Amino acid sequence: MKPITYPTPILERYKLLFKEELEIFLKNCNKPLPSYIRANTLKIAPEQLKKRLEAKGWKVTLIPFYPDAFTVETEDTLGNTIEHFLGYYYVQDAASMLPPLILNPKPGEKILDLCAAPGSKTTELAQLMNNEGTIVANEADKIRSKALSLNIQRCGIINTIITKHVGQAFAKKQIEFDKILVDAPCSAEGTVRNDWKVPQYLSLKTFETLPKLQYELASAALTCLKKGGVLVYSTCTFAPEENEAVVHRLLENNQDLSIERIGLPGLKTRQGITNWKERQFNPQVKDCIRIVPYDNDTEGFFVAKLRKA
Amino acid sequence: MTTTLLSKQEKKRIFQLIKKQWDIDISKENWEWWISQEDKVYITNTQAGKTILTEAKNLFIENVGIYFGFFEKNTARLSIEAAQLLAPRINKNKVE
Repeated sequence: MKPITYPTPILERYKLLFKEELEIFLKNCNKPLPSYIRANTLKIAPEQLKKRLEAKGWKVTLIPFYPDAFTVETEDTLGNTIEHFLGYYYVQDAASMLPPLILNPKPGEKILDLCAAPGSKTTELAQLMNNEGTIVANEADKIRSKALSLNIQRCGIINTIITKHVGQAFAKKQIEFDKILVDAPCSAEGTVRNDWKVPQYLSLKTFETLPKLQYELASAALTCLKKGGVLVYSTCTFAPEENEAVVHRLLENNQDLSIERIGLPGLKTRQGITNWKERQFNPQVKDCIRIVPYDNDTEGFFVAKLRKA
Repeated sequence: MTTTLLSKQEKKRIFQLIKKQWDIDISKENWEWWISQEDKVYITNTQAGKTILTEAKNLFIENVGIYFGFFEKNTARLSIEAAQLLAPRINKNKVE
C-alpha cells in the first residue's frame, strides 16, 4: 500500500510533538485500524452478542478497558448485518468510547451532549445510564441531526431529547446539567488510520480557527454545568492548540474549575503536554490524557475531565 | 418537529389497541407518550418527559425518544424498536 504523504508543515509539527517516537508514529498511522464494535446492552448482553457473532464465523475479542466492546474480524460489512439493523451493536472506534466512560454518567442524572451527531457517544451515554435520567443531545447541523435520530432510534434510546442549536447558544438557555460532554469539532488528525487522506485536508490555518470555536463551545457548556458537576472535553486530534491550549484557557478564565485525573485499567495513556512551541500551559493540563494510535491500536484522542467547584 | 403530550383518552385508546392486538398491558410502563404533527407516536422515559415540559421549554426540540408506532382507528403499527421493547411480554400474534 502507498504510504501516507504529509504536507511539510504538518510533518514538522509531528516532529515536535512525537520527537524520538516520530518514526513509530508514522509507521503506525499506515496500519489499517482494527474494527471495533460496542454491544448495545440496552438490547443484548455482550456475551450473548459475542456468541451470536461467533456463530456467524466472526472472530470476536474483548477489548481490555471496556467489557461491552470488542474487536471483530469478519468478511461481512459491519453496518450491513441483521444484528446492526436490530441495534445490537454500534460500530465505533475504541478510543471514541472513552469520553462517555470518563464522564461516567449515572442513571437519573441530567446530561448534555453538546456536539452529539452522529450519536456514537450519545447512545453509549444512554446505555451507561440504563436508559434512565435525561440526555439532551444537541446538534446544530440538520443533516447530521438526522443520523443522530436514526442511531438513537436503532439503539432504542428513550432518555434522549434531540435539540438543534449552535452550541454557543446554551450559554443563554437557563438549563443546568449534572454532567456535560463536549466532543468538539476538530481537525480529526487522530482518524488518520481510518482515512489516510486526513493529512492532506490539514492546513496550519485550521489550528488557528478551530480553537476559537472549541473554546466557545466548552465555555458555553460550562455556564450550564451545575456546581460540583463534571465536563468532559474531547477531540480526536493531536494538535495542542485544540487540546491543552483550550483547556488552559478554560482554567485561566474559570477560577472554579479544576482538572481531575483519569484512570482506566487496561488503557495506556500519555499525559497532556505543558508546553508547545513558545507557549506554557497551566501545569494541571498534565492530567488530561492523550491516546496515541500505537499504544492501544486505536485512533488518536484527547480527553480532559474538568470539575466545577 | 413539534411533539405534544398524548391526551389521556388517546393513551387509553392506544393501550386498548395494543392489548387487543398482542394481549399485553402497557399502561403501567414508566414512559411518557408524545404525538407528532404527522400523528406518529413517540415515547420517552418519564424523567426525559418531565425535562421536556419544564427546563427544555427554551430549547428547539428536533426529536424526542424513539418512534413507537402509528395508531389508526382499529390497527396499531409498531416500529421495530417498539416491537423489541414489547416482544418479551407479547402473548398473541407473535411470529418468533
